[in-house]
Amino acid sequence: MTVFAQVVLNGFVLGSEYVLVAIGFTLIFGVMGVMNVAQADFYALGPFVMIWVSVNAGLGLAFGAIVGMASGIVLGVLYYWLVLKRLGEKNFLAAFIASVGVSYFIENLLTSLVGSQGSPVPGLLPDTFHTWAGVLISDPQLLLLACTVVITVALLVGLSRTSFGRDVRAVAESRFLAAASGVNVRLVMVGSVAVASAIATIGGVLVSSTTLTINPFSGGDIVLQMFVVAIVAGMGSVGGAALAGFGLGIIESMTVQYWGSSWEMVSGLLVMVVVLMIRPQGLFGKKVRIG
Amino acid sequence: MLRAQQVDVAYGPIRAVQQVSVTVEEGSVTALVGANGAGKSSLLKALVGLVPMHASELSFRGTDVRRLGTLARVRDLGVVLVPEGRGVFMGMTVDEGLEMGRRIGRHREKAGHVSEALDLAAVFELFPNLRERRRLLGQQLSGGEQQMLAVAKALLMAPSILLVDEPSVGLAPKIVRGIFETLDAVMKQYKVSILLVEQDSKLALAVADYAYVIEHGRVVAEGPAEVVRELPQLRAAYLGEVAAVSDHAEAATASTANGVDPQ
Repeated sequence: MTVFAQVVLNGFVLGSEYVLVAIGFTLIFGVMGVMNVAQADFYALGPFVMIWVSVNAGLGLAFGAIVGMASGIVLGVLYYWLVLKRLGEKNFLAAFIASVGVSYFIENLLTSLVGSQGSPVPGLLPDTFHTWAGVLISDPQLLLLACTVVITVALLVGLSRTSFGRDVRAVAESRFLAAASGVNVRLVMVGSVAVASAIATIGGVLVSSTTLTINPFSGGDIVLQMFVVAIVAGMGSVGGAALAGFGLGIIESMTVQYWGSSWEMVSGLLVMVVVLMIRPQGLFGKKVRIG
Repeated sequence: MLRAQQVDVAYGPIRAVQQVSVTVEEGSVTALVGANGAGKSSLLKALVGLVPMHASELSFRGTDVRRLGTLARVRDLGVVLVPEGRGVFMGMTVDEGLEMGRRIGRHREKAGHVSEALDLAAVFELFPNLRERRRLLGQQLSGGEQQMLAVAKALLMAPSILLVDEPSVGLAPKIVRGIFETLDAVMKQYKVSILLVEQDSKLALAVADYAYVIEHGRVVAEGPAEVVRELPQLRAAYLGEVAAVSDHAEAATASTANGVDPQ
């Protein structure tokens, strides 16, 4: 029983990582219709920015962490103006291919800067472990879990209760109708990409604080999971992606424990295939997507 | 108040609107009539900047608006489109939809574009049905209620000119009459001009002051509504008289089949 509880808890911790890349990914898809592969690489960029600011520039861990987390806003805005605005507003396929290109670009740029080996990450919190009824969890893991829940809830509340969130939902449902209703569509898009990218960089900083290492391919390594989570949840569903992200984490964690670590990836894909056979639109997706 | 000269709208190689010139006088109802796929909706969308267009002139109360985006045309000039097929967000409540309109209205009041915009109370006065359905989602409303919501939202935006696209499609005549009566009342009280696209020519010409007949993206006839009403080609094609109907019906079907229909 203790082993099972530990496996589930590990699944939640692992799932947090998936949640924090997938909710931004699915948000951008909902608003722009673009499958943004580079989302996962922003996740890796966050910790590197933190290392550069706090270690290389010697400006302190707290400041570095804040800059690393917030770097997503700047990256997202830049990414929107340079790539998505030019391609994504009309041609979803071109934007998708371009995002793959940006993904390679970021990974290779990072490799040429820091090499392909993992870089040590200074932990945000000391790696103290607590034991509750035989189940182990560390402070950084607790921080990661708590932040994931808070960020997800904040995003959901923001989408349903604020006027900007209402604009986001309007654009997601129909860009045409939103524009006709006097919504600043471009502002909604750039805002959504900035928020999504910031969630990714925050996720990167928090997760690397539990693993204490990051490498240029840390983002690329979870692209597949990001897709699985968003597709199983139903593309565009933020709440669904949060549930599916934790779900995938738990499934993978159980697979490793009870089946063998070489089956870790297989289990997630298997779940995706089964879900899509039963509900092609995903668990929480709408049957028809307009726009 | 609105002058559009030699408007062209093309979707790739397909020319939906060709050299169309339309003028809407201050405080008037102008109708665009013609068969499905004739380019009427494309013209309306182009006027609010939702599809790209070329025109030798597009001015609003004397200002050239060709370089303005949709947001500026809607918010600063009050050119408001009521889109075809119930311009309602299916996943939003009635309240949310109305608030989206009201936000633009408030902005226009503050910026001094209008002295007084309709508020929610005034809108519920006009559409009492909506008051009882405030918390329902767009998709839970009937077709008539959706159209009422679309019109109510547009009115809250304090328009100077309403571009109304096919308000009668799929609605019971009684509801259509109600909506037209409301539009008429609002127009008089708030001095809103209307550019109306309507397939039901009879209905459109009954409320319009001036009308344009559009076929295959071109204006083929124009004049005061009571004159256009009597035009032989219009009577033949749209008012149920037999001659030449098959001809037009064929043309309309063919253009839809080729994907010309821009809706």
